[in-house]
Parts: sequence; C-alpha cells; structure tokens
Amino acid sequence: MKTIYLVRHGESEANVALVHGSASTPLTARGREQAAFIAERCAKLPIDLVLGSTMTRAHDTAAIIAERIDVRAEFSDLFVECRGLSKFESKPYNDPEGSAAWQIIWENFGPGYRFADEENFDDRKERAEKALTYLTQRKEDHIVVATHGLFSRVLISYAVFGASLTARECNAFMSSFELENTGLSVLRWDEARRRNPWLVWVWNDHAHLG
Amino acid sequence: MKKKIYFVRHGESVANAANMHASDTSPLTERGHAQAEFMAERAMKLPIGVIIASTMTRAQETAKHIADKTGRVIMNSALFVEGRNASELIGNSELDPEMARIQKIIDNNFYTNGPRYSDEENFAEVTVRVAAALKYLEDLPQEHILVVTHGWFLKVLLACTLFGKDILSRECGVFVNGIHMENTGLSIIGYDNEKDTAWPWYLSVVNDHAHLG
Repeated sequence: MKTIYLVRHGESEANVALVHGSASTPLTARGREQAAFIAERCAKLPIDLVLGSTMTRAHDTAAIIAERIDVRAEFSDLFVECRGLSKFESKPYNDPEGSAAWQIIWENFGPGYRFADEENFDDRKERAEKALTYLTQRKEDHIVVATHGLFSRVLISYAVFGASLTARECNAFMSSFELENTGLSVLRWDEARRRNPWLVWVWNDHAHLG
Repeated sequence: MKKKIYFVRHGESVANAANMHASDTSPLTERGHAQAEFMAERAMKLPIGVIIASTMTRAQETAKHIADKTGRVIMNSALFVEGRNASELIGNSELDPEMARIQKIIDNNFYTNGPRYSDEENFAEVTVRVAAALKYLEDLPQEHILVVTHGWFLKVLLACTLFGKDILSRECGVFVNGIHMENTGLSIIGYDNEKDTAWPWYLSVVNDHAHLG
C-alpha cells in the first residue's frame, strides 16, 4: 500500500504573465508563500520521500517542502510538465498563431498524431505509465511529488483508466479538471484492490490556501 | 453566468459503520454527527446562498448541522438521493459473499450498459437523473449552492461533469471505481456558460476532507 501526494508547483512568473512556461520559469513571491503553506501541511503527514520535477518552479516547491519536513528530496525528469511547442515557449497563451496550432492539436489529439515537437498523446501516456511504475517500485510508502498542472491530470487519468486510456478520456481530464497552484491530490495504490490498484483519494484540495 | 456547487457526502451512517447496504432511513452515527459538525464549521467560510438536501435520513441530518451553523435555508430534493439499490441487497452486509456476488454482476452490467439484475438504478436511468439534477442547479437563482448527497450518486455526477452529456457507460463505471468519497468529503464543480466550449460544467475539487484533520 502506497500513498502518493501530488502537489502542483506554486504560482510561477509564467502563470502571472499568462505565458507558456519554460523549464527555468521561477516561483513568484506568492508562489513561495503557497509552497510554505503546503509544506506546513505536509508536516502533519507521514512523508518519507519528496520527489520533484527538474523544472525550476516544481524543483523549488519540492525543496521548500523537503526543507520544512526534513526529508530527502530527489529530482526526476519523469515529473516535468508536458512539453508544448518549442516555437511558442514563453509566448502568451493568446498568441494567435500559437492558439491556432493548439486548436489543431486538440482536434487531432490521439494515437499516432503529432503536430510538431510537442509531447503528443502517445508520449504523455507512456510517461504517465513510467512515472506510476516508478512510484510503485520505490521502497518508500508515503511520497510527495511536486509536479505540474497538465502532467498531474494526465497522470491521474492514467491511474484511473490504466493501459486502456483513450485520447478522449485523457482529454476530458486535461480540459475539465481544475488544479490550483499547490493544490494537493492524493493517489493510493493497493495491489489487493479489484480491477485497479490505483484509487484517486483526493483531487485539488487547497484548504491550506484559506 | 458562473456558479459553484459544493457537494457534501453525508456523515457516517449506521449502515456505513456496519458495512451494510443502506436503506433510505439509516440515520447518522455519533461519529457521523461530529463529522457533519466539522463540515458545518467549514461551510461558514463558503459563500453559499442555499442548501439542497437529499430526502434520505442521513443526508437530512447532515444538512441540518450545516443549516443550523450557516443560517441558510434547506430545500429538499429527491434528485440527489443515493442510487437505488437492488432490493435483494438492502439491509444486508456488503461483506456477505452472496451480496458481493450480486454487487459484482450489477457493477459489470453498469460498465457495459447491460441488463438490470433486478430493480436497481442502472446506467441509463442514473445518467438521466444526473442531467435533471444539473439542470435544476443551473436554473436555481443562487450562484453558490451546497448540496448534501451520497457517495455513489456523487461519483456518477462527477463523472458526468467530466465527460459531458455523451458519457459512455465504461467511462462512468471506471471513473466511479477509481475515485474515493469520504463521509462529509467536499467536492466542488463549476459552471461557466461563457467558456468557449460546448459543455459548461467542470470539476474543481474531489473529496477534500481537510476539516476531518
């Protein structure tokens, strides 16, 4: 039995500027404060490992939590944000050319389809599977993972639907699920469970933000 | 128009504590009353305009705690009652092998939109009820509404929120099996008909129970 506490990173400079984040987008002062709130909350949980994405905003969120609860932190590319189109990195969400490209991507989102250099449906699904397998193989039982909004949704969709996850199911999670900065989602893994060892215990609890 | 709906599962019932398939009149346990009081305390911080309560006893009792604390009016609605159980199950233990066998058949039929086992509420029926429930919430004048309801029905409603009106039985069945709902867990959905998508509902929070400590 394992419990995975997924934490979305705190508010980043890109979140405030409404631009597509890059790997090095830092937390804002407010983002650091949100990370301190979730760290305080983690102090009440029996955490034995903190994992963080290697991207600055999630890396720093993980580091703030690990320092507060005095638990070792490790960082992995398995938990980075879903890669967008490099052409539009750090460009505004509402850039007309970028919006048009993403509209085409979402309309065709599915097995085998790729627009340019984005992480497509197959890539996202494969990484979610690897990330969940990696978590089940760790020896620690209570793990915090500081990660990202879109990848959290993909990860949860894979936890619920497993290898048979379709593009439509993945897309429903990506488009109709809200997730706050430092929102806490909890997954439980129990091999003895019928049908599916993964269970979504909580999604986007942000009671710590008041 | 934008709205937020705060769904609260009832507190622990006598049937929950005994692992029994509940009847409509199973009341809260002492622990269930305490959980409802914690949730009521939390609801003081929510900007709710009205409380809607399922007509089943455990939801009525939970709603009363919240109404007493917040001073909001309760409106009763049978739209938010628990899914109708097969009569064979009601009052029996969930752990009884025969009951587990029947439940498994019912679950499989739900996944595949298959035939009814006996008189239980099936996929086709419950999704019609969810659509009516969402329409009812959409038509209420209040923008912030708290609804006291039940675990299984709430999971089906959240699945419909996520997948929209063309939800497939498989999607609904897998989702319901894949999420957990604690007694007095708080789940929030949003409504925004100014979004540029055809479906105005979205999921915001599932089973936040920070108030239980």
